[in-house]
Amino acid sequence: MTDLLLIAGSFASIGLLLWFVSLFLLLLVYPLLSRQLAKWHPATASRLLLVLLAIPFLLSLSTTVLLFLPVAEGSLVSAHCHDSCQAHLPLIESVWLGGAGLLILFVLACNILSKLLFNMRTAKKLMAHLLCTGKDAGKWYQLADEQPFVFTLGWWRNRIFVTEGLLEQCDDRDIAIVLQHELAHGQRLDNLRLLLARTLLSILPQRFTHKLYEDLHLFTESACDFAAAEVYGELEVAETLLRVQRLLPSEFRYVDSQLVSAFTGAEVEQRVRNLAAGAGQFNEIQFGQSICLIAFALLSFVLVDPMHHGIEWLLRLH
Amino acid sequence: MTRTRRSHTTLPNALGELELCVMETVWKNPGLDAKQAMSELEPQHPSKLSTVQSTLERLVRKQCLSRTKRGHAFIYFPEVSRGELLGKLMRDVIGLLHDGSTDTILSSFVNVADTIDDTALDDLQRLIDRKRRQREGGQ
Repeated sequence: MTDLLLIAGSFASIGLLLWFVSLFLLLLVYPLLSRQLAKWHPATASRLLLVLLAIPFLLSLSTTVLLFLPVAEGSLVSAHCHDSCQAHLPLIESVWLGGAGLLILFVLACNILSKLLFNMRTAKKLMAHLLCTGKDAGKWYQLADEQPFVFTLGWWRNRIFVTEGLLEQCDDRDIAIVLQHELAHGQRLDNLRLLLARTLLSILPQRFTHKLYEDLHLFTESACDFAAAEVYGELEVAETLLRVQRLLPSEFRYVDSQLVSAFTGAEVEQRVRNLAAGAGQFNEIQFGQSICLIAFALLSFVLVDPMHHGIEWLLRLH
Repeated sequence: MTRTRRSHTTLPNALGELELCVMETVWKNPGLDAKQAMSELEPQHPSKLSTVQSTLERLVRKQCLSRTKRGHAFIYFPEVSRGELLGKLMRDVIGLLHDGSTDTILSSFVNVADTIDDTALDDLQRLIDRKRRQREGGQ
């Protein structure tokens, strides 16, 4: 029983430590990467940023698994030997330390799960209400509410909801642009991407990771703006964005910044500036760059070897 | 001390699934009693009479329905319209968007939590106009 606790505790402590450290390192180098990301088309940048966010988690998971299942380590970890060359198991000798690792993993898993369940319950409840009170208008649902509002709700089977307030205050072209933008959200499964990003960042407090999340949100919205711009034109989409923003009642726009935890920056401003500069401002990913990016993603797994030996050094196995 | 359930703090004006179905039934046929409501619900939401009765009473307490006695039974009428219920719900949604709690389930065209004033919007409009003139001049 104690052995099992030690193994599980060691696995949890090592995995969490590696995830924490590698995500922290990503935060340190992100200011350099963000400048490069902003040069690419938002659709590409949002995909790359999500991959970037997944790397610390995947890296720490694969390093930890290889420490405990050394069968496959030959491919990623250089050959080495411990004491009398028996198969190694990096045990944390202290039951308290192992127990603390398990406890942190448990708390983190509960936190992620409770947020997921809360979001699922809210989404289900909202969807049931809106489908019941809304009118099916083909590609979207019309809501009998005077507030000008449009949004896409859900992860997999998402639906678009438009209020009568928005339909009455916008012309047909604005409505078509707004719907094209929302359709792009649905096709790209953006809500699911944002949920995945939140989960991948969950090991660190939100105040440290908000820049990464805000950037992903901005790239996502900009990608949908440009999807609409392909049909209707960039300046037309930018003007619609401004018109719809102006329609928001003032109490929505001038909010106490203390209440706004998610997006405090003027996201709309950046989106309009991107559209005004046009898609031509962005670098297209060339074939050579794609190869470099794939190589970079694969090369990041070279870090498994130093991480493996670093953890062993930390545990004084050598 | 009163305990507040979390669902009530997140979407205080949202109703449960059965409550919503009962409201739907009363909106369609105002003046139903519990037995009639149960038979209306039967095909999609078969429920016991006691469940339907307690749901109707809960909706009366939430001021979504009103009731009048007719003979031995109460009959129920809607106190809020679909539009009113939706309006309250939309205010809840906007509140959730402000505190960032729904950003992973809901994408809105414009960010209701964006702190941008009219002067900044005017500047952006001038930028668009300038770009349009440049493009037209270039053609």
